[in-house]
Amino acid sequence: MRARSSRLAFALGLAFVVALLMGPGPGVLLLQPSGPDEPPPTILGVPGIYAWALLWAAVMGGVVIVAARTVWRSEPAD
Amino acid sequence: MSGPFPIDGPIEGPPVGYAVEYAVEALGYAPHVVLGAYLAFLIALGWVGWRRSRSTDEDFFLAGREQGLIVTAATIMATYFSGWAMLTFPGWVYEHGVAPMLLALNLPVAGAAVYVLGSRIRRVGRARGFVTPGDLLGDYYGGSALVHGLVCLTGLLYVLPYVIVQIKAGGHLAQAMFPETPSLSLAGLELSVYDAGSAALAGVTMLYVLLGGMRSVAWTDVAQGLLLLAGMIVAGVTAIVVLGGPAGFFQAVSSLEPRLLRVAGPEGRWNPWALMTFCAFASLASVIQPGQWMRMYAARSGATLRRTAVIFASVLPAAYLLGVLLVGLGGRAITPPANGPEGLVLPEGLAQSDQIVVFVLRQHLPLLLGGVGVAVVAVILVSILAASMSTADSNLHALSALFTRDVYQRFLRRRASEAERTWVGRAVIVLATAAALAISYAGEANPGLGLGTIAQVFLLAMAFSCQLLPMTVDALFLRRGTRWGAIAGVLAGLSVVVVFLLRGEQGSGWLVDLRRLFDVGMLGAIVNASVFALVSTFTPPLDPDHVRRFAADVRAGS
Repeated sequence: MRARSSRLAFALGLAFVVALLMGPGPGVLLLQPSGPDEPPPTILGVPGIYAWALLWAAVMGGVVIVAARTVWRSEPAD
Repeated sequence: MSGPFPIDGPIEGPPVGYAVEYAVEALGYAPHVVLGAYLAFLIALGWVGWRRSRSTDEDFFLAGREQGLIVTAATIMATYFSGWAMLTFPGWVYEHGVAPMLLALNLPVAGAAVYVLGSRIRRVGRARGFVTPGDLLGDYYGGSALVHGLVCLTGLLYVLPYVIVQIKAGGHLAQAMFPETPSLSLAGLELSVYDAGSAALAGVTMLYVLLGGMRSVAWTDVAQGLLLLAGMIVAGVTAIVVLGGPAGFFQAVSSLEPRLLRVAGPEGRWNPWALMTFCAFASLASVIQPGQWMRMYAARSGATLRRTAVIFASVLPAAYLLGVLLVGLGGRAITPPANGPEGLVLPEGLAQSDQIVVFVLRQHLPLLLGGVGVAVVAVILVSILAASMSTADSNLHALSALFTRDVYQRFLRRRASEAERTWVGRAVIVLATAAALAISYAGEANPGLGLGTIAQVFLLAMAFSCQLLPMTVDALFLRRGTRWGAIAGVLAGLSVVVVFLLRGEQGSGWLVDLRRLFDVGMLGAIVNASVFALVSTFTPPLDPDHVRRFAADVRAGS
């Protein structure tokens, strides 16, 4: 049970760090147009970087919610 | 905002006042009525806090460590934000496009830190009766007076400029809200509306902090936080409606100039490295600044902080990304600026990009909602004031705790009674308010006095606070550092921040390049942690029994 919780904690921590690297970090360059005159991408009509920010904010928020319902719950009560 | 948004911004004077002045022109007496009701409500909350208080410093500084979910969540959130949330941040989006929106991703990091760091701070704080950050870190590093003093100094470097700048902002707000009010003559003194306004706003803030301590500050933060959240969401919805609904909105913003829809390269301000390191480190620095640290102690239980973390990490990014930031982006499509030879030429009526939220709301809410729209705009104006006041009150209260616990009790009168300490805390609040007012007046009367230095320290306040991070992580998680390692690390980290402070942002050179590419707090923390680890390998370790007992309190609490 404890080992499973540790594995989940590690996975959540990793997902959070990846989201930080991908969201506001260098990962956002994946959406960068190659030339200065090339139009920036859109996703379903929404500007790409804005959709990117929403996506990774949702991932990070989701990690916190899952952690609060699982890993953090198993920590000592008062 | 006491939280991590001001990575760059106006150095001289707050933008808040100009935005409010612009909006007040067409709103008649609505702002006067809403402002009067708001200030009366704050004083009433202060009075209720006073009636429920006990004469102990734990009660005055931490509300008896019994704050529940709503109060904890709202006070942490309101302390995190100031007027930047409604003005500066949307202004950046209006001016620079979508890239600054990525800064909103600092909020989930801060939310996670509220529980990961906060739950341990709360547990050991409750077990050992800590009130300030210096109590915890000084105790862990063997009761070291030097560690205690350094932690207090680092906290003061965060808190002091915040108090001064917010009180100064109060004067500018008053000046802007009542531009026609003539100067008053009182006992031979000529008082401008700036003088009277900043004194009145500082006085009201001081009064409710004095009366009820943390309890009053936190209760007023509930009102201020809810007001701010509502304002952010109303602003975003307004921008979407004005552009014809979600489809029209995104069609309009997708047609903006391509440079507004991309991030900058390494030579630009909004590059991914700066954005990411800011999101990671400035958020942590803001969560361990003295005012927030004390809110962790004040939480009733670990579950309170756990739920607060969830609210923080989910609701706040939504309020930003789906709310107020859309006004910045939509504003660019609704009222685009022109490109002039010396930069952007803003549309008529918009003196600064920081005004974009107020500008769009004032233009469109009365048209959409009639009289109700006017009232809503007035409430949002007061919410901007509330955001500044909630930052000032939290920092004023934290300043009082730092002086009373870390200086008066630690170095001047070790045997002071609880009642005496509480009264000393109140005296500090009065003196600090008076000093901040005097500095604010002096700066207004003599612009060459050097208040720009205070503003620069204010902009780097989070970088100073970040220097407590290595020591905090060691005490709460690792427990491998030594006292001398901690002292050397903090001194090295603070020195790095001071070097960047003295160098400034202008000109060229590797220091300017580093500052553009990375968060200054992170740069200091890297040097800090390296020196900490190095010195710790050569200096005597802490008493293993002490470390074991401390670790048990961190893990299990009382």
